[in-house]
Amino acid sequence: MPTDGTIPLLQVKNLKRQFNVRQLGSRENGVLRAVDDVSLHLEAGESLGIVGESGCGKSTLARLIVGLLEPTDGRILIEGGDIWASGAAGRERRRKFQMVFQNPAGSMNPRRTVGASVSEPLQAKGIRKTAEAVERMLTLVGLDPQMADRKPHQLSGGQQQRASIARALIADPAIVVHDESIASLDISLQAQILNLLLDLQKELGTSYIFISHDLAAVQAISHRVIVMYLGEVVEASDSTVFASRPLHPYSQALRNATLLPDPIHERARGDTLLRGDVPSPINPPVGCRFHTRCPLATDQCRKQKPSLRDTGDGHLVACHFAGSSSQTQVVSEGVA
Amino acid sequence: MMLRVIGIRLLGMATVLLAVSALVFAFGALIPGDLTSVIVGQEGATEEQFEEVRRKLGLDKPLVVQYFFWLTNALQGDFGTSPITGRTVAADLLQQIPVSLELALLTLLVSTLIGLPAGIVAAVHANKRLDILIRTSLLVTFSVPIFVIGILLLLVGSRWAPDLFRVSFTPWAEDPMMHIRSMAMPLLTIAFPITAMTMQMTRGAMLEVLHSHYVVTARAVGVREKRIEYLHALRNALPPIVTFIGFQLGILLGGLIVVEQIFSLPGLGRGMLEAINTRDYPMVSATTLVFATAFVIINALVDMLYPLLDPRQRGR
Amino acid sequence: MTVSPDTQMPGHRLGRPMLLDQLLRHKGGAFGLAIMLLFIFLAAFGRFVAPYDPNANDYVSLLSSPSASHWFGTDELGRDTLSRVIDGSRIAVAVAFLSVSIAMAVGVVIGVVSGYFGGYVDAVLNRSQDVLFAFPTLLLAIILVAVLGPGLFNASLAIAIVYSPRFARMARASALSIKSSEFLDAARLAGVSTPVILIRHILPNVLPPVIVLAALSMSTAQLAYASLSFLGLGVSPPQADWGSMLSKGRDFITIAPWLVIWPTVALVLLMLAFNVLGDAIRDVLDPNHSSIGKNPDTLL
Repeated sequence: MPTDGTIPLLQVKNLKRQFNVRQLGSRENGVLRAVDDVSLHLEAGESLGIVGESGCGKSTLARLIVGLLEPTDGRILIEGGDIWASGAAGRERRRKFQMVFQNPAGSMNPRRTVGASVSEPLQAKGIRKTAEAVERMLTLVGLDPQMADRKPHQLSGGQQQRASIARALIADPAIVVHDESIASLDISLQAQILNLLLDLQKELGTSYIFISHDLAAVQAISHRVIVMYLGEVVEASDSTVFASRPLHPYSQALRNATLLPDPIHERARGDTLLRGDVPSPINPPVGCRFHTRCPLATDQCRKQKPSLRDTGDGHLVACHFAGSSSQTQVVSEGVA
Repeated sequence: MMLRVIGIRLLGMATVLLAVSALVFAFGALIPGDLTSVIVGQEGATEEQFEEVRRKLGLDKPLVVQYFFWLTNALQGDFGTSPITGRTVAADLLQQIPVSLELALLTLLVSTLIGLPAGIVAAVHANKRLDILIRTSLLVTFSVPIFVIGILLLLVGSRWAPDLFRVSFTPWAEDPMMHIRSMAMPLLTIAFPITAMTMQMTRGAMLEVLHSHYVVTARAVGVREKRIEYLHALRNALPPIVTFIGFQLGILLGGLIVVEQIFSLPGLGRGMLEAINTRDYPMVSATTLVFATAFVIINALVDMLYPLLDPRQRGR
Repeated sequence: MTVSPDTQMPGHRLGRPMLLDQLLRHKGGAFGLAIMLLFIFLAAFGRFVAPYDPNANDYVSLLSSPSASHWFGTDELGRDTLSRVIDGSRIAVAVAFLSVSIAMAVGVVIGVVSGYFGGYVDAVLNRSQDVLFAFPTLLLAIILVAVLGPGLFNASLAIAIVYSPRFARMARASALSIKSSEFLDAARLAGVSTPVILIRHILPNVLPPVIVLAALSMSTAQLAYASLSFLGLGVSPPQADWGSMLSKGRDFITIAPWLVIWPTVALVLLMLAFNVLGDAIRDVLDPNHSSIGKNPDTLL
């Protein structure tokens, strides 16, 4: 949180979203806490990465932030104003968000031309003449402006994703959320698109939120990183700090999973790799939610829920042991 | 679980029945010239007499109350008196229902006796010449409405077997021989498409079972082919087939109306059509209600029968 | 049926000329289209083509067998059967289009609304449609006519009501699958209003399978109407349609079989044309036959 008194572009405060789910074979309705008490903030021109396994609630968080879903509890403020304020004010604020979706093929209406899809945000604002803007935007994302007349299925996956980005950026949003937006592309394309996004950010000053399961990619392009587990934030940090020293055992496990195979590391890695599946978010483990899979779990973890605490320099972590010198010792030995 | 599903369905059906009866009643009630004019009208009755009869019949009450009375009476079998024929509706129904019921049950019997074995044979010989022949001929009957089948049978029959066709309906009690002759053509007509359906369905169900794992296992173990086909497979194909036959009984109701019309059978369907055309509203309401109720009851029975036949459903 | 390779592209090329082009190249499509056009022509210009006034009595030639002056013979009032069959095509074609169009319009609106909005609206609409769907087609149609009263329009309306649930189901299923698609989220994020979303994004994606279903339903709708008319619930005399002609002709079946033969031929021919055309449209619009099967129960 900045201390100089200015309001951050985006503030998410104690955000919660629950889903009622009917469990098979029982009459009782379970409550799935997809996002449970998440707070974060984002400055203008900044990039934030949100990492976690599938099912950790990161996609729900994305949809909450852009206003596609209404939160059960908590607030989302843009430039200090609530996006769910009633009437035109709220609607106006929700328009400052855009999203680039995971599946480029599905994110454009198959029966409309690419140009029609790209110009949609402008038209919704009541702007009639959009052809020029579309042309400029397509050029900016590296597409031939003539592609505007094509149907989405006539484009390649990479072209479709570029067109999606063009649509997301055309109405000059404050924040663009990327929900696994590059996961479905092949590696060389991923790099191209990432570079494109960074160039565009320099040019337009847009803030990004990258949602991904891929820690390495997120680290590389984000200023700050948030790690989520079962609907909760377990670690939040500056990305360079995070890259060199992740504190939470879960973050360490995620990072180790992405390391290149190396026989010397391999031997030591064994016990920090993730064991087992993510527990059901309907009945999350008591105490620390990660204790069922944590190599360091003690009785304390099984009983008492660790709170998100600052270990210095705004590096937040929710673990009883992480950051304390003795424990770091153990962990670093495990990794080394 | 199962019971709840059936319960919900029954409830839905009952709602439809209520809605249908209410609609029928409402339209009947809104028609100008109600029962009163029929009863008193001819004799040049005075205004007081008129009102007197109206009050007696409850026609001065609000429509909802009238409907309630009508429904409670109907549930006790009293549908009132037809202003057209002057007879009580219940008396007519009692005459008509047995005719339709007989035709329906005979159709089901005949179609099952022919369709079931034919379907099994077709499945066992799947895609061989016999199967293809049967299926093409059935496809043709499928795609033609039942009244066309009836007309064609009449056309052919009146040429080649005029005796069989120039028979008006005769009750069994009067002359059993004539009765059988008078029912033969209607039965033939409606049994045609229904048999085709039974066969098609049986074939499908049998094929599915014949390709399932345990039959393949039985074959591998060396159980004789014929035994597999006729005993093992049939027993497991039975639940869907029985369900379908019940379902057909519902379908049959529509067919009955047509067939009774073609062959001038004095059944419920013909009674209904006549009533619609003469705007005999008590009769229309009664016959519609009987048809709708019959359909709902048949469906409920089939729903309840299914778990009894399929052991997998029993535990629920 | 085989489809030329370039038609295999899943439903994207929907330009009308393209559709017509593909239909003409389709094996059965051209044939079905030709017969359909013949009937539509007869329906539109029958009055000028028919040799006689379809309702004019001629007491000189009662029940005369087919001859040079009366190709299809005459009926018990001396009316020319050919002229009446031609006149009947007007009603057959009109009823098929009218009832299916109403069913489609009502069904699509109900289906899209219940699929898109979900919740209680969906539950109520769904449950009532389920019950409606459970009734056999003809029985329900007859009951509805009993309520509405007989007549050409009421019979068409009854058929439309009977047929609407299947359209609603299909539209609902499509709307439901599109509802959660990413391009809809994108449209919502862009700030597009709900009515515009429904019209611009949902409807165009719901329509193709619905159109196929409509094409396939024409044939049975026509037959259902003929059945109702045969039962005396359709047009009122002296107006002729095939069902009522058959009903009347039945009384003279031994002495004047042409009175039932020709309406039957016309009926079956139109049914075939609708069927073949429907199949062809399905092959072109939905090459994998993924969504639509035929209902065997539609005729009873």
